[in-house]
Amino acid sequence: MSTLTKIVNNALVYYDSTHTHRWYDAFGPGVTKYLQQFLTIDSDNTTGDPTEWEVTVVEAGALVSTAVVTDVAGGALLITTAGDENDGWSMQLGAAAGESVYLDGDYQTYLCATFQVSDATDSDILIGLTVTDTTALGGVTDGAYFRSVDGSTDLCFVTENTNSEGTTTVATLVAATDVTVEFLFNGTQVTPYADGVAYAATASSATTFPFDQELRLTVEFLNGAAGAETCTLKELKLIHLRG
Amino acid sequence: MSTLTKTVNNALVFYDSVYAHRWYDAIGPSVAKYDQQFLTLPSDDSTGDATEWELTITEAGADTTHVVTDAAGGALLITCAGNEDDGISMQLGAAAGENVYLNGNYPLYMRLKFAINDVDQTDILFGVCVTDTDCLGAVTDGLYFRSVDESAVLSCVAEKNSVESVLGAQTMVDGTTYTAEVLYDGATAYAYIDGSLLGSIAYASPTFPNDELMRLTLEFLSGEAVANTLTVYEMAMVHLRG
Repeated sequence: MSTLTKIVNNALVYYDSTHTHRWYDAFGPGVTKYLQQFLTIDSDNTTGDPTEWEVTVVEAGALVSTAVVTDVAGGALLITTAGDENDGWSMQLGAAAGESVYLDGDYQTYLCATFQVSDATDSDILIGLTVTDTTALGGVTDGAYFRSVDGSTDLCFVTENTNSEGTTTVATLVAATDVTVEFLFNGTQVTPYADGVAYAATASSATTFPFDQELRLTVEFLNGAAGAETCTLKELKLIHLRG
Repeated sequence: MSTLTKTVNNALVFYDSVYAHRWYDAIGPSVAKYDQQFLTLPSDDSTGDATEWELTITEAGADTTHVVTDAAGGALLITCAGNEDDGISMQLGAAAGENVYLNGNYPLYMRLKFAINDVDQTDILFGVCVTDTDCLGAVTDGLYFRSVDESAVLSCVAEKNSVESVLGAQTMVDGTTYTAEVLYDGATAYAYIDGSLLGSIAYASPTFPNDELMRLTLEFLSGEAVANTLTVYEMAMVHLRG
């Protein structure tokens, strides 16, 4: 395995020689990216909240919901929920506004997240691109994202346009076990991957493909039962080629 | 058009195959860079102010704001409060933070992609300047683009010890996106608008700012009692100190 380069939409893309869908970085015209290994994260020195993100915190139960850099080789963000069901943390890149990803044509896009949860059944998680929505897990109108909901260990890839969604199960979550989820939109279809394995693609012409709304990078993690739960997010990458 | 690489001052520079002056990034010894597409911007929880920048905000009229906004590819929206000369000055760093020094063969590239809602009723300055909270009012040393109230002309200026020369100019249009760039190759600084060469200045020129540390600076003011706006799509600077 090594790192190769290729030109995509006039940008120089660094990608994996074995998992060729896996992009490591890109340079060139119209490249927008957020590459985060959580060695650190910009945080407010009073509240401790990440300052690059619009954060919605739910903490009705005991203790508080937090998101902090933690001790992990290679870096990680530890999200811990407060103690009630549906306590947790929603974060959308940017501020109150900040929709920056638009899949309205041949604008290739790569997303990757590596994470683990403390309890695969009694938690909800969503990672991917959605419109601005502080409770995306409660129901979001448009997006392309990975989702697992309380009461199930299934991790699904979802494409959603105007509340109409298509889902593909890509993995079974196991407590305290890392999973790497990725998707690559190549301009004509989006293909999801879990731990490097490809699953059914969704064409940009599909009725569920979110081609007509600007989207933004979104992470949401909620408790599915009483008692604090955790999500350890070890990397989060977005590369969007607007050139 | 594609993206190529070359070695400059021992650094690997990523540049455009057609607009060869356009640098996208650099990796290597003593590369200093700031590359911002405004997918996000670290901001204070309480005030909303950008925390990477030293800010001077003028808002006699109401509230001058600078926030990430909805735009494909990302953008920063600066909105002036409602009085003339309301606006914002941003200098990268804190109270101090001069880190660009053109005192020899230390190449510098910078780029701003932006649009202004009213080009002749606003003032804008983008480039590198010495620390100054009011560069549009007058700055002693800098290499920057500037357009002033009552004019739609965007000029590139080199200035040393308060003596300036204009490298070239272009007339702007309301609501139109422009890409302003400067490449200093160690001997000459070249200014570009939308990929076309505006003019140049040699290191040896008496107005070339070669004896002061400078810092990345963006300033935008309203030229009338209207909440005028600046939308910044990209801001990039690469400085090779190796």
